[in-house]
Amino acid sequence: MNLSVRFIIGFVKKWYPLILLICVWELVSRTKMVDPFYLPPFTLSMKALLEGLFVNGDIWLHIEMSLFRAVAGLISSIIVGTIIGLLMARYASMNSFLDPLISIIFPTPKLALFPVLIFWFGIGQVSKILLIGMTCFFPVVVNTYAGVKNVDKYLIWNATTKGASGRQILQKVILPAAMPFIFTGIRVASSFAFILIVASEMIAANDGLGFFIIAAERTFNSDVMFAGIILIGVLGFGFDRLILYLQKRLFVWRDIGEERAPGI
Amino acid sequence: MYKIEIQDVSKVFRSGKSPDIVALKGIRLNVKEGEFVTIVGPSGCGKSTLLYLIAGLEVPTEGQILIDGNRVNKPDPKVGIVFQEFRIFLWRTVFKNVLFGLEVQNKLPRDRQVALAKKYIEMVGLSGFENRYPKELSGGMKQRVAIAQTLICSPEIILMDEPLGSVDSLTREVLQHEIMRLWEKERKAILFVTHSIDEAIFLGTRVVVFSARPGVIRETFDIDFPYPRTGEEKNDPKFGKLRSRIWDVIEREVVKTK
Repeated sequence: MNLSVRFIIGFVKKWYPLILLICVWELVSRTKMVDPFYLPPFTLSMKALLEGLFVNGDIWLHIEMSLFRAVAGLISSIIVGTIIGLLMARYASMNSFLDPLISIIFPTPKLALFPVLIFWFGIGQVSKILLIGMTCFFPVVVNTYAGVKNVDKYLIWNATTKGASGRQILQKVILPAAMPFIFTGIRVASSFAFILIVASEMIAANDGLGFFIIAAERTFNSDVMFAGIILIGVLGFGFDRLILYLQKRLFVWRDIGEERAPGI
Repeated sequence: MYKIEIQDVSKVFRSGKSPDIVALKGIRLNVKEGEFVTIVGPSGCGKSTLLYLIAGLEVPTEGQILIDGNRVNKPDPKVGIVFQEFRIFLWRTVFKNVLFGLEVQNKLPRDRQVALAKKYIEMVGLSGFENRYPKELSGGMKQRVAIAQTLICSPEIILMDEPLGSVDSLTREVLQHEIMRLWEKERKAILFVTHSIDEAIFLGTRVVVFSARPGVIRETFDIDFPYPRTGEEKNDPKFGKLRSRIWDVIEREVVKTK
């Protein structure tokens, strides 16, 4: 069995759900089992996507806008979340003050508050970035707190007896030890950011991938609509892969099994 | 002049809901420079707590500890401590682990730090493993990293809290010889906590036997086997007699904890 055959077999083993899905999709649409108006064939959707990307370049603006908002919201939530998580772990008073607040607000869907944000800040960047920032803050702060609290006391003692200052302990012991937890928080936050950016843009926006899909839906351009959906699927998948890669690189020292971030 | 003076030290752990735990009561112990004091006793009798008090990581409830005549109230790199179950930094390589103390103290130029790290890694027999992570090492190797990590700071006093407890018995014997060898070079004051009577007698110049909780010192035995010790001492009838005597003391204490 030569190399290329083995490669193909390996490829199929790994990607068969996707291949199956595409084949069924194409078949069902082309044979008109489902009306192609409602379900355009995969190939036509891909065509629309490629046109949007490389022929008229419309989609790039939407991709940029979505990414900008998602990343802005995510980064701010990471910065604020890790700092507050650290403070809460360090100062019991901060914890007793903030923990009840967090336990109440975390489970409530912030998306329900989105109309308020639109009302106050309009349908531009601010309302969406705020929404993402607010929502992504919680997994980051909770995981940072857990990670820092979880740092083995003996590691801190070890560093102290070797002459490390408080700042050095924070930098060289607490942060590295807590980093796997913090990173988990960031992964969860990223998946939230992705979902929220699409949802919020479907509700109220003039651009972005969510808007792109909804606009296509409203004008009955089903192939363009599916093009957007395929694109988001690919972006989400790619992003998750990126995070997994980062995780492998950062945590070489740890035994971590393959985990995937949940997506909806 | 004593290196370490433990003066009527007691340690009580208070917690709101559960009853107070008296870990140590009225401990009086003086250690001279160059002594290798081994500490044996039943589980939970405060042996580790005593080490933490000497290291300045905990504060005595009563009494005080003096090092070189000065009262201990916070950790000082002069006192090095090797903890149970290694507690080395998993995210650092062997090299960076050993370098840690010098890195944070930052008193030496970088190339000197690197040279010392290499030297201590070699001293504990881990040459070639500098770039490995702890997860790739066996228990015995991790213990060696912990020892090198502490010794590189040239502490004047070395505390070891059951350093060979998590290691298999073959490696344990090897490491016992290595630790003695390292000690013989510079004869720093060492306090070594162990559960093994044989280990206590074999390594120490003096064996201190603790009672069950609340921990008090029951008896002290001076060991006069000369150094370097080869392991042959274990066959000497004096060794066996010592072992029985110490075992008698401990047996009475172990029965108490049941």
